[in-house]
Amino acid sequence: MPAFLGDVFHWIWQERTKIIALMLVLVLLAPQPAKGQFIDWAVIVAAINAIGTAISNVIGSGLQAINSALGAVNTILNTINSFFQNQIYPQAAINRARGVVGAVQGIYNAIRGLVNLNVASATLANPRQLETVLLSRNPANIGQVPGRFTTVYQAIPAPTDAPAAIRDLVDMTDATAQAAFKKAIAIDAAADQLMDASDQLAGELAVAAPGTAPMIEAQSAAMLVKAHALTQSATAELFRIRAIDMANTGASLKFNANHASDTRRDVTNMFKK
Amino acid sequence: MKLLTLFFTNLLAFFLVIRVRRVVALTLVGAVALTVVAPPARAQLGIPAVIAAATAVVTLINNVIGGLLNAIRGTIGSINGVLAQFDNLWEQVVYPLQLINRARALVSSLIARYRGILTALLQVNVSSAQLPNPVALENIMRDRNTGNFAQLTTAFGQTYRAIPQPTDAHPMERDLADIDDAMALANLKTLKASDAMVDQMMAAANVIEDEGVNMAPGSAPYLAGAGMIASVKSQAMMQRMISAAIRQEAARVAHDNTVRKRNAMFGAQFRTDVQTMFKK
Repeated sequence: MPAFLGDVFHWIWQERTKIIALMLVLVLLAPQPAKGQFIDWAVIVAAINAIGTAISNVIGSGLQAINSALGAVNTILNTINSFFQNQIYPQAAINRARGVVGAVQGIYNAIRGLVNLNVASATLANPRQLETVLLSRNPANIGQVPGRFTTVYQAIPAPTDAPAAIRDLVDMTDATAQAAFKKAIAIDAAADQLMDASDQLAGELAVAAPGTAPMIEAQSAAMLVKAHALTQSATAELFRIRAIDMANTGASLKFNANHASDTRRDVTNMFKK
Repeated sequence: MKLLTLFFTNLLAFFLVIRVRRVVALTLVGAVALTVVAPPARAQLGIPAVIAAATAVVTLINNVIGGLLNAIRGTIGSINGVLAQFDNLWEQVVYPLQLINRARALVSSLIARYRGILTALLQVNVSSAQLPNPVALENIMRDRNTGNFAQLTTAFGQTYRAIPQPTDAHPMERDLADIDDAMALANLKTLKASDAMVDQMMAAANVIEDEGVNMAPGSAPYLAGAGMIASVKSQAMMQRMISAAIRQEAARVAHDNTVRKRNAMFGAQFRTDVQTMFKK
């Protein structure tokens, strides 16, 4: 074998010019390797086509259907949005309504000026002092009512000056009158509070959103119920005075009957003597 | 490539056997050159894998993505159905346009039918006095004007006369007459203010009502709220009126009571005077 290899190398060295020339010819003439020249393109193209078909048929049509459905959803949402913006909550109507709240509040501000007009009319000292307390709208002044009342309307007669029945009637009547005066002061103060509360509600309503306006309305309704309750309480006070007045009228009849009975008895006794 | 290598290797072996050295050498060089110049074509062995992958992708598209898209389409269809029902609920049940217009028309109808009548009824002239002083007082009492309280006081004094002079009446009686007059006058002033307020309240109601003609369901709560607040204020004013009535009634009852007290006082004075007279 070494001898064979030695012969080969020897021959290569002798024929080196020819071998180089042959190699050059082979390099130049040998076909360049075509990459993939043995790949089956048809199969690959078919596979790619299958993917494309699947994308087109499945994903494409699916997305198209979804797009169509979303379009329908969009249409309905637009319809609802338009309905709410144009029919239920039109901005122009909301702004006008807020303006109405302001206008009504303006009117009631003027009315409040009328409510608080000074109507005091007494001219003499004692009545004027009593009237000042009665029209003060200040519950802190209620304690002054009995003193001022007694100054104008006098005290209960002494036991030596009037029968017990008359003194009871007078005391009850004074009590009712004084209580009514006190109640009137409290009602005036309550009315002021209601006016303040309603001013606050009106201010809030003027800046409320359409969704919160019913909340203000609800609170206003609650305040209205309270106002009705106060009105009812005031009316009850009025009825109490009238009831006592009626009782006084009845008492007068009873006293007259007693007087007649006493007179008859006295006359009878007088003739017996 | 493997085939070419095998071919040249066999050829080399053949020529070695026949000992044709030149040909053997050339063959060897050619084989080496071919091996160098024409590298093996890659990828020809990956085609099944590519096809398998493509098949897997198609399967994925058909089974998974297709199924998901169908599910999404179904969900969107459901959403669409719900939205359609929602739309129908609002437009046909909750806020039917014809009923909105009907409510607006009702406001217009009520304005046309009642506004004029109510205003006229409020302004019916009920004056009934005949003599000059009462006529003057009655006119001022009912003129709905709060700027002439001084004239009211004068007219009241001309009709009901002035408080007796200190020389003409007991101080107690003068006080009583003064407080009675004061209560009556205060109430007449309050009533003048009240009449003016009624006009203003009607104006406020008209403002609310006028907007009602064009109101929308979303703006109606503002008007309702304004009406509610106005009602609270009206109640407050009603309370002030009742308060004045209470004062007046209380003063009248207290007046009657004072007469009783005065009678008792006069009785006691009479008894004292009689006793004094008999002592003499």
